[in-house]
Amino acid sequence: MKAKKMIGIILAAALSLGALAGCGPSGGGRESQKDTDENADGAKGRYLESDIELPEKTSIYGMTKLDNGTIRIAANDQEGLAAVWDLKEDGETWEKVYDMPKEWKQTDDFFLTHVALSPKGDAFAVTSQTLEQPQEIQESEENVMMAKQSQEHFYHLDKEGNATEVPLKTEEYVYRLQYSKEGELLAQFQNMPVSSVHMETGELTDKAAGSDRTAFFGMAGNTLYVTDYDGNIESLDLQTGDPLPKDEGLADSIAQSGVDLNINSLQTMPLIFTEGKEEQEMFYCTDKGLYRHVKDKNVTELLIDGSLTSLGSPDMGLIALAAADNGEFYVLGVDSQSDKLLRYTYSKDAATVPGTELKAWSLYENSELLQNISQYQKENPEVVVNLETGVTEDSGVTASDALKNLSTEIMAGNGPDLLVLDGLPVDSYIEKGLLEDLSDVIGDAENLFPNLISAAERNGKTYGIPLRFAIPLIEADAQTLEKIQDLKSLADAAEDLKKSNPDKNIVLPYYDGALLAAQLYDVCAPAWVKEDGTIEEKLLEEFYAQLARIFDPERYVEMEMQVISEGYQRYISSLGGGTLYVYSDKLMLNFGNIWSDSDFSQLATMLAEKPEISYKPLTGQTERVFLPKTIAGVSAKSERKEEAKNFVKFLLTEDAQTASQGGGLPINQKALKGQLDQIDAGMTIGSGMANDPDSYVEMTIQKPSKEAIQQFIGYIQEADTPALTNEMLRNAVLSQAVDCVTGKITPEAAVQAVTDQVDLSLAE
Amino acid sequence: MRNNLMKKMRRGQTGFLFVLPSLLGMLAFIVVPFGDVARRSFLEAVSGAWAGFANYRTVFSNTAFRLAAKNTLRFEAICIPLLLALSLLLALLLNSLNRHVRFFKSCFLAPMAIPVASVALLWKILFHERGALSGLLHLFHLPGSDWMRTPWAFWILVASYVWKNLGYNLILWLAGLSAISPHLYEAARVDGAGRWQCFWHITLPNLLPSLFTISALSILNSFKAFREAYLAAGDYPHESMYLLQHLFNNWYRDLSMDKMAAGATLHAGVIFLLVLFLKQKWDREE
Amino acid sequence: MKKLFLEKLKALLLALLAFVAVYPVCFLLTGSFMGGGEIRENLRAATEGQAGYVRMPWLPQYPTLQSYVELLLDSPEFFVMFWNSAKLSVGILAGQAFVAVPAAWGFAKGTFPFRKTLFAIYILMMMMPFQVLMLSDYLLLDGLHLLDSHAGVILLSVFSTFPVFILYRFFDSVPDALLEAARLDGANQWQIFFHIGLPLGFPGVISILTLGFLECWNLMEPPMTFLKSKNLWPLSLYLPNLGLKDAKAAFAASVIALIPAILAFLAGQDHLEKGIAAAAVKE
Repeated sequence: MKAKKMIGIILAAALSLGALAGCGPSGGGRESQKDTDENADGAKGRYLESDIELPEKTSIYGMTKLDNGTIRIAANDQEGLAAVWDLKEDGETWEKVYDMPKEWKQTDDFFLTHVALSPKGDAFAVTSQTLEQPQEIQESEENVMMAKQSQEHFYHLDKEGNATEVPLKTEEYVYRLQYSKEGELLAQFQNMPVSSVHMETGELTDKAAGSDRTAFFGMAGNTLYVTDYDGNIESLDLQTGDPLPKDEGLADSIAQSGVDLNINSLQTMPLIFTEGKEEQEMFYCTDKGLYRHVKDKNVTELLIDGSLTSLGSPDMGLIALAAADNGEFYVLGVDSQSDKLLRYTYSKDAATVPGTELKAWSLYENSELLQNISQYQKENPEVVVNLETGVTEDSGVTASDALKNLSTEIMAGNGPDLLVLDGLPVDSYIEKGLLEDLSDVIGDAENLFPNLISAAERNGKTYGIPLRFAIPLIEADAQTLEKIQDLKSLADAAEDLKKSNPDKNIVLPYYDGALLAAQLYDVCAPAWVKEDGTIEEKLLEEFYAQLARIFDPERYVEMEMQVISEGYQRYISSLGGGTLYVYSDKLMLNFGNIWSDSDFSQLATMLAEKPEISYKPLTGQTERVFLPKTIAGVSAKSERKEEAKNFVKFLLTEDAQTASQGGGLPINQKALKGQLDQIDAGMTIGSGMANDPDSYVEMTIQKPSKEAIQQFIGYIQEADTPALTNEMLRNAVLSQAVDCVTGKITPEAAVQAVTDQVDLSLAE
Repeated sequence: MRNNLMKKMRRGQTGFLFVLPSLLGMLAFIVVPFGDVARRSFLEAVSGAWAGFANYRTVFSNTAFRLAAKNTLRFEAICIPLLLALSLLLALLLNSLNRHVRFFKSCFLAPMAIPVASVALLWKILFHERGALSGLLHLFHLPGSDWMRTPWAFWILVASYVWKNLGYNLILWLAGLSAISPHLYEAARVDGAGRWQCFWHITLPNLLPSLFTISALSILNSFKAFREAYLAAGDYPHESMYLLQHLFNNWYRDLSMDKMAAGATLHAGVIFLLVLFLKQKWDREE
Repeated sequence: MKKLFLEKLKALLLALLAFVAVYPVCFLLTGSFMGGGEIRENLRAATEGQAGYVRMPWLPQYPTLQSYVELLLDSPEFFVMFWNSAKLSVGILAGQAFVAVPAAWGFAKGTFPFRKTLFAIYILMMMMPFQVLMLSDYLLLDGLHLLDSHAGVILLSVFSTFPVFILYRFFDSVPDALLEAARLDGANQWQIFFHIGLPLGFPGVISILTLGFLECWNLMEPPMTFLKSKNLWPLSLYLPNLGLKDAKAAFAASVIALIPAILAFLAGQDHLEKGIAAAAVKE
């Protein structure tokens, strides 16, 4: 009796109130969405970004705003000749002011390295002559660095471009040069404090204390800002040379913006400055955006949100900033493609916050996507794409926790519109109807590899489009290569080679079982998984057995780091690492994935120079495999499906696909061909093996021939089997491989251990 | 008579006011969400369409659910009696000791204060393939193993649970023991009863009322053992210690909210029956 | 003679068991006073797959405060998380004191209808694992706009039914005769609660606060699910991120996290025992 009453009450309370709870929160979610939309409609006015086309196809040394307000740049043309240009009133066309001396034309061992432009009209240039001396090799922990000796010369150029050499004597390398507003040249040399250069005598006068601590410097009017390697910013009065009291407001606002002041190269800086019209006004720019600050006051406002412009793109480096008299801003920067001169113009009509917000979600960091988002926002100022990353390097969140958070957001109706499906439980998502069919997006896209796209289809529908891919290849001498047809013949070949070449590395010696398995996993795993999702144990056992034959315990060298992060795994699984050793005749067999044009450039160079070596797609227990990467899906629960699909369409365009940060080859054929055609000759790469101090080898990249590119693309066009994306299975298989190749456990035991782990997840 | 009733009414009213804030909060934050889960167990996960008992059928036929349910039952069935017996034994021992009682109690309570994450770290150090346990066995020329990846994993979980909750239960038993009137023993001894007879006929029956509270608290604490297992072995531990909470977590991760809701409702149902059973016993004793 | 021997044997057995219980605390302490090199050396077998076995020495070979110095001076996020933990604990405990204590009194001494049934629901809800309610609680907090805030986590834990359960037994043991006497003297229900219930139940209140503190200090799933911003995370989420590789920081952090819990224990142990005990004993 009592029990019945209790059940009755619980059920009544639970069901009636439960229904209320079910509706309440999701309704609230939609409301808040509406709120932001209204806000966006309300406030207008935003700086919009545009690219200024540069004179010819040039690279830029520097930019300044002359006293009369003209924007001036110094640039190099494709012939290697430098000139100084002014931007005309129309803001579109360039007028050449003067050419630099003809004898400064770039050659193999002579470069014009720096040009600093003064607001007063004169300029300062540095040339560098490479000396024919024995190369000095400095070894650091991981890679071997080379420092070539060179001889610098320093010149002052007057307003007409007449050069006079400045007798500046220093053994140190020039890092940065910049003119102050009053025409004083400040220089930063290696291991030296920021100093002022005397144009006639070449004498250097220290401006700021602290020599090797200086990371970079900048100026705004009469204030010099020197940033050290800890990110502390010291300010000095340029005229008196006295240190100024710390500008707490500036330091705070920079710290709060979250910019990382430790990322700087010789060319670019994380933080650049310029003066404003008013006495105490100044502007600074980071990847977080462009800010206006009143000196020594707690007044800082964000004028341009970096995340809405290319400033926030991960490949953008900043060089110089200028505030034009008409209120526009000019930022000189460089991205992975070329130098960029960006102009920011205030538009009264543009909404302050873009009206359409697309939420994107990726489990892992994805640089290409970030870059594409910047591009897209620039072309579509009304759209903002917010990419959230589940697992970042410093967050300490596990993939599983990140996925759980994603689940809650989807269930609460706050889920992302666009999903990068790499590492996500795609099968479950499809089963639940979470993913939208993207067939129409593919229908509209052009030049995609049709074979790779159709491989992503399921029952006539495409729930995820791989934006990028990698392709597994094998390199060996032609005779051996011919014999290798599958996993078993690969193991046969490895054993034969071991016998006939006892003194040579057959496979890379730092491959332990797990790394070796990682190289072969992708071309074998598709064969193991049966239709119902369970594992074909015989084939997996065969995999382990052959793996043990390929592994060479005698030559195996343990690497210090055993932690295998995602990025590191990609690096280690690239073909590029071993190509250099095959090329140098130190490695017999090399297999792995081509991830980028740079991997291919090494392969092509080797083919051109070593006719006895050949390559082909790697066949394991499956053939014609490719690895789909950055798989884009659109949420069926999204309220902005069309906008999300449009974004995916953009991601498939040649423009977007050209982005290249090592995350895979573009699936757009034109973009891929463009990348491969653009590979330049001349870069030298080198590497050494840990177990052999004499193993340092290097290769100078050649331009790949049309035929080589054609052959490579031909192989891609044959691929039709996507590699598995089940990380759980992958981790289980790799973790057992370590003990299996050393004979500590039998292949049978390894298979048992794998199935024990995997069956659980399959059964769920 | 009427006055008395009024008084009683007023007294009831005030008593209810004491409970009201807690009751409202409990309804809003526990009962209503639970109702929502129960509701969801009849719906499809993402679309929210009516699914009837389909989710329950899926869950019942799901081998992972069966395994997890079996493991959870096994864990409860083994560790609760084990903990109850061990802690009672310890309480009897301690009760018969005259000195250092406080010191020992403090010692046994200490594990409760150790952060869960530190316990997980200890697991890793102790039970790693080349960990302390393997090292110890090596001294006796016994083979070690990666303990968390063997059926021993289950026993590690049991041991960890017992270790952590021993002190807590010890105090519960001691309290129960101290409530037994010494006169009872004296009377029994006068009647010529031995130690064992005293234990069987006086101690145990008098501890019975405590037993039910202690079991309820032990079950409650047993659900907390999942934290250590999760931190030390992740989403997919060895199958012997794969508990319902692991499964719910993984279902949640994979967006299988429908299965999770059905599983959770079933789980709650079993607990409901258990509480009912305990409560009935309890009330009968009263 | 035989009795003495038996006594000794018992004490020895207890000492042995007590040692097993306490040893991990000692181990953490020892580890926290080791330098980075020594820890790495001891754990090498597990972390780097080298031959040999993990060693667990009794005392550090070269005692040093290095780990503590690094953790306390060089990791600002550790402080943030420590204070987050403190903030959460104070909020939850204060809330429980205000909500659970009167509720337990009401259940123990009130006579309203469905009292027993409601209390049974309390017990049932007490036994519900977090995973069961995870999703619905998230949606609820989302609706209240309390996600990603300490307030949300606090609110959920305040209404935990566990302290009501423990305190109920405690208040239940307050003799009815005492209340009747007070009532005859003209005290109303509130006066009785404040002047008789609370003072008599004080050890019980302290004991639920002590137990509650241990629970808050180890709170894992709720903050992990409801707090997105890492700067809001409590210490209990910081520790799991330190694996064997960061054993050095992990040991020191464990000990520092242990200290408030031990202090709470020492402060509350007598009351705690009474409080726990009250739950077990029936009058």
